[in-house]
Amino acid sequence: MRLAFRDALMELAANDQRIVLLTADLGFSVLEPFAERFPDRFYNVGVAEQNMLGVATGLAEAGYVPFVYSIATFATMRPYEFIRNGAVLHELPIRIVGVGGGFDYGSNGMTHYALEDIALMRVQPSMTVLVPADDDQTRAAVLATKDLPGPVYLRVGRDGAPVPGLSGRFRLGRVELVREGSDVAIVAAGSIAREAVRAAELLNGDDVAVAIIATLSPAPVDDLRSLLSSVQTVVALEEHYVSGGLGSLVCEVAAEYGGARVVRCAVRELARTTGSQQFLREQHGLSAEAIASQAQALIDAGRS
Amino acid sequence: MFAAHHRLGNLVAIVDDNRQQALGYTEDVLSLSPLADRWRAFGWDARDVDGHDPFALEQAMSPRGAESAPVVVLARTTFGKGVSFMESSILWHYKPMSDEEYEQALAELGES
Repeated sequence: MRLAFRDALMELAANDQRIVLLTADLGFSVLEPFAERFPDRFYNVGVAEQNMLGVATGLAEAGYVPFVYSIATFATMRPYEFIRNGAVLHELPIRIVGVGGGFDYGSNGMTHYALEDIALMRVQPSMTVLVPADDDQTRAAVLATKDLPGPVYLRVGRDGAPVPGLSGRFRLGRVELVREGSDVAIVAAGSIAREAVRAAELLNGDDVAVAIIATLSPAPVDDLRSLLSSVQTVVALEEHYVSGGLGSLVCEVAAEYGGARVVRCAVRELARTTGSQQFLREQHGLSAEAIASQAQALIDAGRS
Repeated sequence: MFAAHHRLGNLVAIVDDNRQQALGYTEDVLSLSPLADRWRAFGWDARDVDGHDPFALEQAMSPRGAESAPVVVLARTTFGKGVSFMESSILWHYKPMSDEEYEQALAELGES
């Protein structure tokens, strides 16, 4: 999804001189084309994420639209206070690009697993939080949000393979249905959505809906309410800790508006081992099989 | 490091060097010495100045201009200067004045 992000950014930058790109020394074989085409609008600030946000804050105050780029853990946690007291407090158009959600950087270990980024960003008022599920949705999200006056967090996964049925649809604050069903709905954010579709296929005897949420903030309340009232049993799936992300969002809507049973399919414990993304997803109950079994349990409970 | 690396000579930083902080004197809590040397090691043009001398401050606060070293003015000050009972006091970072203390402070400053 990084390349899709970069290509979309270059298109925007060609038509908007205010756009600048800062990286904390990451983006090898991704960001070079931007740097070559727009050398005066590209800054490698070094491995200094707090300063990256500080510089971005100054640039935004001066009228620029800065995109800051690093691996999601480093883009969100190290400079968090700067994000809060800069971008959020002063309502600035800083776009924080966090590469690699969940276990995308599997072989790099826990320091690189973004399992709390959605929670941290979502809690800040007026921070738009976007988690596209594939390349096409990434591009659509970047283009659709180009004029947002406030700060944006964009979690860009690595694998951007298309989610079947999505066709790159993105509307800010909405839910995109990719599969209809009435027994249970699997609601997913990010590239893990492909596992949701595989899970639905494993349950081919049942009527399983799959919906993609790419906007975590502002919460897609209206669409979620509709979905929850028509299906009533939901598996909320994310490659993120169980607290504060998509699952919590779905529970908030269900609790405030009533009527749905929610199961949160997310990471519930420390990732103490390192391995491939596939291995880690299996370890933490995020494989298609594990998701399907959660959905099946909900269906069975509903019938009994 | 960023400012020095990119030769941001239009940047002037000012340190109000009163050598004290919330719970004590800086040298006792977490020493910053040698302050000027540290800034210079990172590529800044560090200028030691009497922080109570407006003419010296004005001179020191002059940027070098683009493509040069950033400037830092290390203004040596005395916390609460001019009020005998406040000078170099940790307590007076926090304490509000009584009416009497207020009158005395103004008198000492020649402002009553």
